[in-house]
Amino acid sequence: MPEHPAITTTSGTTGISGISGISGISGIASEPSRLHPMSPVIDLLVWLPRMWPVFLVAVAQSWGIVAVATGVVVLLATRVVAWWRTTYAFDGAELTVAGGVWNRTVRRVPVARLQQVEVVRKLRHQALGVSRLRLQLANAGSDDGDVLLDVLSVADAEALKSALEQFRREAVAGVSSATAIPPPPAHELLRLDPKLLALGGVTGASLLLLPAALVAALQVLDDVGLDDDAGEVAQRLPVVGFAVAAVILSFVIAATLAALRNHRFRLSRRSADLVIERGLLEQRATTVPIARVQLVRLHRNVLRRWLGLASVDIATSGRSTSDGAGSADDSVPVARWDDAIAVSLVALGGREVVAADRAAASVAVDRLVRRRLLIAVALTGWLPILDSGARGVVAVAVVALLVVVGLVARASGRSRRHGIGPDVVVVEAGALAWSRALVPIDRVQSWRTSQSPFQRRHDLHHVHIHLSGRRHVVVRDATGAQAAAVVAAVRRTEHVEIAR
Amino acid sequence: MDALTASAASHDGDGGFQPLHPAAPFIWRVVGVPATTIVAGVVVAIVLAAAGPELAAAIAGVLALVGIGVAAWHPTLRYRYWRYRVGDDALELRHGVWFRTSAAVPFHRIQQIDVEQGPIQRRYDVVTLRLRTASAMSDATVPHLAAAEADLLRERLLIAARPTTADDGH
Repeated sequence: MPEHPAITTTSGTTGISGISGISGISGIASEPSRLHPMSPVIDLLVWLPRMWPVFLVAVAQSWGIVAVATGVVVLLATRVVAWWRTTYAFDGAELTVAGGVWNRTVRRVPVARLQQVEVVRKLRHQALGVSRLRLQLANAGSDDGDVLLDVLSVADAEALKSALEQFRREAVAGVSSATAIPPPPAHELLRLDPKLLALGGVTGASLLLLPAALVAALQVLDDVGLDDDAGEVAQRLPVVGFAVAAVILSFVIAATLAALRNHRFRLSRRSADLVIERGLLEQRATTVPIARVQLVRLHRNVLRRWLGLASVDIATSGRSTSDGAGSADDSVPVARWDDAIAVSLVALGGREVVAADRAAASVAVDRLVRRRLLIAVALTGWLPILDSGARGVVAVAVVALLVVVGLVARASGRSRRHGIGPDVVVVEAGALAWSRALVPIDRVQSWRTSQSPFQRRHDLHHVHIHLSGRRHVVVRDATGAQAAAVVAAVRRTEHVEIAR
Repeated sequence: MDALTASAASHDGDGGFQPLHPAAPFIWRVVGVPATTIVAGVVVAIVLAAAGPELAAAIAGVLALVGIGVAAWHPTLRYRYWRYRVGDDALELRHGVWFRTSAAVPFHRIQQIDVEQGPIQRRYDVVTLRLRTASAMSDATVPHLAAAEADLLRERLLIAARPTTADDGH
């Protein structure tokens, strides 16, 4: 028998029930609940677009309409059965989710093990007035780590999220629900206005979109006729205009996407949790327990550095999916530098952060330059040999490229620094795309040093620091003494953890 | 002094680091045969397609000799450089011929210990000890240990891995 009273929800009606004595939540239900009755419809909206090739083939046949209609009915019926077979219940200690049509699966999630709780409302959820609840666990990158309650009423999702967060806090703090103190109201740390979001979009993702747009535009230029009479300037103008329009459009798209994705972005602190709310078409409210934070990263490229902007990733040990769903990656998409620093310190929960005052050795910088130049020569060094007609021009271009590669490599090498504090190891790297990783020593899982034959000549090492999941940080080309110091620092992981 | 410590003392001479079971090079050679054969087949096919039968025969012969030499010699070197040690607070591993690696897994981070034994390993009564932490990146596999030694090591690690805090935060 669970120690807490049974807690279940009654979807679409009264929200969560069953947590007697917990602030703002009342009522008791003894039976597990089903997801919202709109669940099969949502499933259908997800499945039907994926089956368009089948439908395209079917409707071309005389029996097509009947077949498609039958297929949709069968699909709906299977989703209804799946909805009927899926239940969930929360007893204050564990969330139990049961499901499966042929193979029955019962999954029990200890509330103390929750990494993040997230309410997501995609466009289809907003249209039907429902929400999705995603629970992220520490799962070392396995695919079945997240628990997903895809369709709950908005009230149920919010109430269950609140209950899970409250019981998790109690479980971690070791207090009972009877003595629990309601969490204080959220304290806002950061709010991003649309102008800053658009600027973030233009200076972030658009840097990748821009080359693609330029290549596309140049392709059009080539197709339309750069080989034609060079005097036809008037004919080219529309094409040049198209190229400019493509670049502008890529910026507009990037800015718009960033503004939509992070619409009304707000980062706040509530008790020992960080709460991130954002999104217009897809609304998200993510709760990140500060005690679960494994790694904090600050990023900025050359453009953002010039503008005094940065982004922050706050990583827990859960799975980082390709679309960012269920992860707190890109937690703060863009912020003023001072704000980004402040957020990173809050996310580290009061750990002492030191400066990255240990620079890469000159032999390490030289090695990086040599490596990059070697790769560049291997990729481009043979180009002047191919085209005898423009050999001189190509040779000059290749030399210019090698000079740029060498300069960037030297800057990258000099940007490699690290610092060792009592609580945190700081690792910085990158010239064009700079990042600072802040690794809480008490979160380190294991470590590894590696050394290639070329590194052995100069006593250089890579130090890999492993964190939960697939997250890791590498101190590259550290000297023997530097590597030993980093290893000695992370070796203190247990002592730092106990001290905290 | 427990049996493992005694065993460590008997192998000492490298800061307490111990070698794997002497059968390890042979097992690596046997396990490497399929991969070596496939790589050799692909190389021969490429050479045949590019250079014709006569030159191909010569090149394939040279490559085969080199391949056989490396396949026979590399496991011996690999065994020579593979060492492990139960340290004060972590299991420490050292391995790698060309790329040297030194890894450590703190005892209190161990989540699970698996003991695996393949058909060739059964012939020599050796096992592979696989430690799991919350990190998918941890380098924590000790191959080809004598079964009895692996049992002792596992027991010792399990005792050392007993949690000291209520919540480990991951």
